[in-house]
Amino acid sequence: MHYILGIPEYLWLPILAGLFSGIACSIVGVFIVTMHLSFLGICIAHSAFTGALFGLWVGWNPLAGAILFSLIASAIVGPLADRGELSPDTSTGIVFSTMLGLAFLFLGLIPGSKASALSLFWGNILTVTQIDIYILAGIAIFLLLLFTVFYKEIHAVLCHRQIAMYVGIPTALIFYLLLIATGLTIAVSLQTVGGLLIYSLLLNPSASAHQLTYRFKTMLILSVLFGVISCWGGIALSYKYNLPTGATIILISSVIFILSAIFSPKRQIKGTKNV
Amino acid sequence: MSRDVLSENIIILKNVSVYYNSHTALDDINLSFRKGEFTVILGPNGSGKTTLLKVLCGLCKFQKGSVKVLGQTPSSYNFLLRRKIAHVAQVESIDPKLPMTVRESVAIGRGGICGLGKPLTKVDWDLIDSTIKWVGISHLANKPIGQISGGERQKASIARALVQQAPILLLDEPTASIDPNAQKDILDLLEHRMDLHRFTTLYVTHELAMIPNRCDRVVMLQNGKIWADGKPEELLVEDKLKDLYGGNGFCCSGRFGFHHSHH
Repeated sequence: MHYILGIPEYLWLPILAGLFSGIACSIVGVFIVTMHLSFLGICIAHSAFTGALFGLWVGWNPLAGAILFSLIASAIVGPLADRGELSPDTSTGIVFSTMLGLAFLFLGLIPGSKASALSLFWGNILTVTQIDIYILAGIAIFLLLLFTVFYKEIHAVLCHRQIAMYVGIPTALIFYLLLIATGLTIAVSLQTVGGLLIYSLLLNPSASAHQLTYRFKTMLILSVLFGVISCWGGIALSYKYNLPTGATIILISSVIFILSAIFSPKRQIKGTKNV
Repeated sequence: MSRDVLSENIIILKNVSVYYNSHTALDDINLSFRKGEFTVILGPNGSGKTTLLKVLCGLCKFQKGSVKVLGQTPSSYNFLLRRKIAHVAQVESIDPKLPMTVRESVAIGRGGICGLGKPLTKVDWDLIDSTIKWVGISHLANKPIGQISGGERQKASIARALVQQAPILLLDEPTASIDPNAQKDILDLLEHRMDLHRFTTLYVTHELAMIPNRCDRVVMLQNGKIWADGKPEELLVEDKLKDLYGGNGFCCSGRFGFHHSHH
């Protein structure tokens, strides 16, 4: 077996996938956790999964279907929630259940073996290709640039959306950019951790970081750190003990969350402070 | 400042109506506000006060009439106009775990005006820090915004509005839901600021004791219409206020310090 820096050569692509997935999912996770949009994250994750199944059914690359459906879900849920005619939870729930229904429909319509479709449930980081790495790197760099260039706008929109709107920050533009980024991240990370597990990788690292700091910048850095540690730790453990990689990644991110919650300086604060 | 020396109208509403489904929030409103004028807007709940402020910011669509603010028509897409309008709303509950400090929260006031994608400069931060000091919360600057009291958060809101350096200031019940001491602090801050610089200010309130002595004009709204518009000494009298609020449960004792001190 050929080794590079003491690591088997075939593990380098999964390691890079873990790095870029960890960065991308954790950054998007900060958006989801800070704005309390967890259900929206679930909805877009399932939409991406449905899109991938659609892709398999019509003979496309599953990634193309995943991107299409996650963007459609973002485009429907965002305006519905924004217009206030339905509560955000209701509109997200309707899109979520519709996407789930479509997922099972496409699963039934896919001819022949369902193995490739079922593999989208849990993903496989060990089978990523060089092209996948380029795509994952692209989305990670896009998110890093987005959060660097529009840092002050994103921070304002995530924490005080109403106030940000009043001071003349184009909040809708920032919000929809983040929604689209969420859809893209979930779609391109589908193969790494799978449709069922990706939600945990979105939520756990940023929720852990949220437990540990009141500083937005620190939260972003910790979130990325936890995301990458979860991915690399998951790959290492699954390699050493022959475990399913996606599940190991998620369990490590869950352990990090439990530890963060235990040692959180925010533990004493319960609920919203009365004024 | 007397009304006579106030100059041109910078806010003009002509025949403005706003409807929420079958409800009429503003009904054929004609109003104009002059540069530097401090106007108190009074009226019972649902009379259209907040809707009026939202129309000026472009955050509420009007179905009839025309609105000009600083020569521009407000709309939800007119970010550039909103950067020239500072806004302080009533204090709201926020997540105590929010990852934002008081200083960062005040800095949002510079967020629009310094441009999309452009970081705040040292000049911006110096202004933010000096304003935080001016409102008296510099000891809280690095505390999480969700962990300070309602009164302190409202001082941060005023600091945010001031760093925006906008020519128009909209105050939407800024002293609601905070304790009397904090209300007094907020009022003192507003009066002190008016001594230093006159913004065109529209001040919506239910608390008559919280009306600054130096206000120029009072507009009273009822059922979306202008019920009265005139000088404070003419309108802030017991009979008018009882008529405006319907009389029931209206308590006037100790609330007319303004009227007497104005003379």
